[in-house]
Amino acid sequence: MSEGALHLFDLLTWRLARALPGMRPGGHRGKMRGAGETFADLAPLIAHPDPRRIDVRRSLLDPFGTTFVRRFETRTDLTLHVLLDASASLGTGASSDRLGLAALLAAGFAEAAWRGGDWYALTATAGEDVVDEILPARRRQLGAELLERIGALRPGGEGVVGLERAAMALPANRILVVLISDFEYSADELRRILAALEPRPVLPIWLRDGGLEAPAGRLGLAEIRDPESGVRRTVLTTRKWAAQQAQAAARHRARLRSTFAEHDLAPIEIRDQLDVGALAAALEEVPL
Amino acid sequence: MIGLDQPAVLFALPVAMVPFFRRWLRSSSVPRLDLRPHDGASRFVDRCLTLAGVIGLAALVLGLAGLHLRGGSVPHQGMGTNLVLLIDRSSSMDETFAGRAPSGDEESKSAAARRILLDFIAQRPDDRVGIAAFSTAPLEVLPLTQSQSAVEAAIAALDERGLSQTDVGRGLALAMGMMDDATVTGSRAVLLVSDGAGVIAPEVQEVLALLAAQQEVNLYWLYLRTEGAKSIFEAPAPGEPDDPRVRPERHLHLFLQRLGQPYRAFEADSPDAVAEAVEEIGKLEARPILTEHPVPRRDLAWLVYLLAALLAGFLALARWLERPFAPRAPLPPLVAS
Repeated sequence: MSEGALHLFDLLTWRLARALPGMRPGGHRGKMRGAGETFADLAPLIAHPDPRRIDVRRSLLDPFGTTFVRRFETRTDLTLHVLLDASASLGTGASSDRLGLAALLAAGFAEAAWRGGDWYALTATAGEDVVDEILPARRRQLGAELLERIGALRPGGEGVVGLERAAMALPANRILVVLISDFEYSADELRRILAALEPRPVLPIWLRDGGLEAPAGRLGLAEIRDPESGVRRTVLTTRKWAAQQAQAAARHRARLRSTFAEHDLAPIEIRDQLDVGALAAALEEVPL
Repeated sequence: MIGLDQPAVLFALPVAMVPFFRRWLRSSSVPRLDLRPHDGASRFVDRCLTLAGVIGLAALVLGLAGLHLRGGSVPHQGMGTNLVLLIDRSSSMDETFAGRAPSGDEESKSAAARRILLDFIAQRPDDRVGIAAFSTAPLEVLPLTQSQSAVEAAIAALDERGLSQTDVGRGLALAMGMMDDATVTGSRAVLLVSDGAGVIAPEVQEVLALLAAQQEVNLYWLYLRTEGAKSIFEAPAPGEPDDPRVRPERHLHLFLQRLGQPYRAFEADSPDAVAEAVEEIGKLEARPILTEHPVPRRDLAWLVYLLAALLAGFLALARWLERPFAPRAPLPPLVAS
């Protein structure tokens, strides 16, 4: 993966519906009142002593003779926190290189965050352990560095305990969590993670693999092994079996989507390959 | 019952547990198997593969240990008798019933007796049969045995040309003496097949009387009468000498009657008459007898090797059918634009 590809991510932007507290200037709606472009409300001059923005019309019409000042929303920055689930299932894949995709996405968001003036942090968990961590930073070369670092990661471990713990440890404010995972979870596990993330705006990015979702139906024997639990199983692959697998996978995906919807979330699904343009368009759409 | 040539090889039997720990097919990683459906056919194949490995290895070990069924014998209650065939090997037996050397399709007395006795033996599987022959001297051909093939071979071996004399007394003594301890449970019979008789010396007569009393033997004499010879049942006409030297057959018959044991004489002057007489003896000598059937040792190694080979073939077939769950062919992460 060339570092040049990271420039494609420059056009990624994210806009939160809610206003953020905080005084540091940035690109997002803030809760603080002050100088800005978007009108917020009126306040008595006594409370907000900024005589440059006296609202003459409102002051003249006030029956009690109070002088009012127009207040504007300030703009503030946030931390884009990438939460990467690098459990062993991330290393599996048939038609996609999920680890490569995860590295590209983590690096691309770092690039976009730097370009948009936001802070960037990352926590990668594998099983119960945190395998990589970047404290909030705003560096030019972070994207290129991450491409290397995440790409060299060894996915391992089982379960979502580490991810849940990391989610709970995140700051509650001024943060946008980008949850990058293959979402090979049961609905209950997903519900637990989303509950742990609860007050924070979350952008789930779902790395799907077409090959694993719909295996070919050629007659044969396949030995499959769960990289997380180590369970092994021999299956007789037939066309009927393949249809059954694809059907069950679709059912499971629908169940996960409805679980996301319970938390007012819509995951961005990336199947096998990443199209940055489509990702940018999806980012405009998703509720944050 | 089941035996092993080298039981020490069985220490290798735990090797058969290997398929429980090592899988036969190469595995590919597929996450969250617990969330994927598992069908019955797959479960069956899975178990079959493991079992095939276990049974195949165990069969190989058993084969190396030399599995076999131990031979032995089983007691058998049948209808028959302990029968000693006492056969005259004097040279006159090689003549036909007409007293000539056999020519064309004529059958000699010994050949007819052999043929009919072979048929007789073949019909009586429960008999224990011994064979003795006599001419100038008695000869034990075959001790009492259960083996039909041995009896048949022994009778067939009496094909040799006969010798001159007929020492029937010592022949009878030998035949009665052949009844061993194993014959206690059944009836005992001696079938004397001869075409003549000789004078029995007084001391041999004493021995015979003693033996007959001891052994309780049923006696049968199948007298192959040559054409023109006098019958054994025929009393000499008045004036003719009644002397063992002149009519040894008649005097042997009288002597055997005197022994005090059940005795019957059959006179046959043709092969058909011989067959009838033998049939009659067969009817008389069908009594309960306790014998032992031999059970041969049976090698089972080939069977377990065959089983192992079949299972190995099944496993090879499984290898041939091996496919990855989904072939790993990752696309580049970025869509080429």
